[in-house]
Amino acid sequence: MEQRSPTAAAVFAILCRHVAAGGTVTEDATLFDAGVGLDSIGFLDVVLEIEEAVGIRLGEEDLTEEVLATVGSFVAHVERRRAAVRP
Amino acid sequence: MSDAAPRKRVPYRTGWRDGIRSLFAGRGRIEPAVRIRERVQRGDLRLAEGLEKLRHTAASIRPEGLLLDWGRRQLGLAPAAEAEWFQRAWWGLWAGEMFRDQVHSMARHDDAMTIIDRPSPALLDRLRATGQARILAGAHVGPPHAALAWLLEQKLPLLAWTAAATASFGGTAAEASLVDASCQPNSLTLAAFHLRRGGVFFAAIDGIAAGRLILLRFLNGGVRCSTAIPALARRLELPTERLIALWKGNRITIDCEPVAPAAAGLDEDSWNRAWLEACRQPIDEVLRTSPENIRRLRFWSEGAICKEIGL
Repeated sequence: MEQRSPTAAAVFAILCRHVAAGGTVTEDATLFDAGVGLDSIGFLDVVLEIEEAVGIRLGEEDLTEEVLATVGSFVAHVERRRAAVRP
Repeated sequence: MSDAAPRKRVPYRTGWRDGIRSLFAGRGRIEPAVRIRERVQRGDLRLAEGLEKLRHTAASIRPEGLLLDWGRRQLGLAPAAEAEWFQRAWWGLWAGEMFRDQVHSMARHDDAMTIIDRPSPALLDRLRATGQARILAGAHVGPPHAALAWLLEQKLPLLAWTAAATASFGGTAAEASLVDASCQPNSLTLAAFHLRRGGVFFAAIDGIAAGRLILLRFLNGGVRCSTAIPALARRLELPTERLIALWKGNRITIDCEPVAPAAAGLDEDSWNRAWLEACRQPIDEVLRTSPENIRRLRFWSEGAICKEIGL
């Protein structure tokens, strides 16, 4: 099984802290509804905690439908953003 | 007129989703207002003239029906106070619909805006302070869409949550963005991004049912309010102002006051409740003391909520 990057591990850990009762945090789960089950406050908390943990600042351009489609696509996007700010 | 005669349909532009229509089910209460409303819609009367005619008409409307029942239940009206209360509430509900018609009309929008009194320059300076992000907490009282229409005129970097039917309202305001937040689970995060850029965010505390809900007492009933907006204020540590538009006589005033911040050290639920309560108290006072500013009557006294709080 492929090992997660530190960034991916941090995002997964944050999502696991906010998963709704009965929700699931897997690569192909959706962030909202029947997947992780985040509500609007939960998603805001996830974003603010990711910014703090990973050291990036997210914006509207990071919240496209494509990025938010699944946990996997969201984590991959955060990894790309993190990689882009590395010296 | 016989019972079989066709009833005049009440024209409306943006819907009567909150049950106001049924309050006017009695024909005698509908037709005088509809006639005035249609004259204003056609441009035969200016809005100010229509509101004055409506005032005279209200004086001859006999208190009865669901509106009176609501006032008795929610306010415990004394019999001697019923007639005046009913006339003011009846006037306010129809005046609000007439204002909404006009403010959404391309041809008559400016006429509608002339009845809004300009607030103090100090308020405008506060709202326009460069980079001073703030949350403006509205509520569904007073003339519909008046606060939003006024905000759009101020050329602020505004993000407002609105119902889907209203989202096109800001089409000509390049600085403003109106979104129907109910269909976007990331809407609160987008509002946070807007505020972090120094923007102004306007939403009704009794509007979008996002996040967890807290039951607040209003009048003799209750309303479930979303914790989304207090959660945003808490996380970003931003100042909040209550901003509502209210009928004062036949004119509209903009009422904007800072909301006292909740005490530090409270847990999240207590903090949210304290924040919402600080917004609730003056709105409850408005509903108790100025019947013309009451709207969404079923909303304030929804059956399930009444049962929950033991009414």
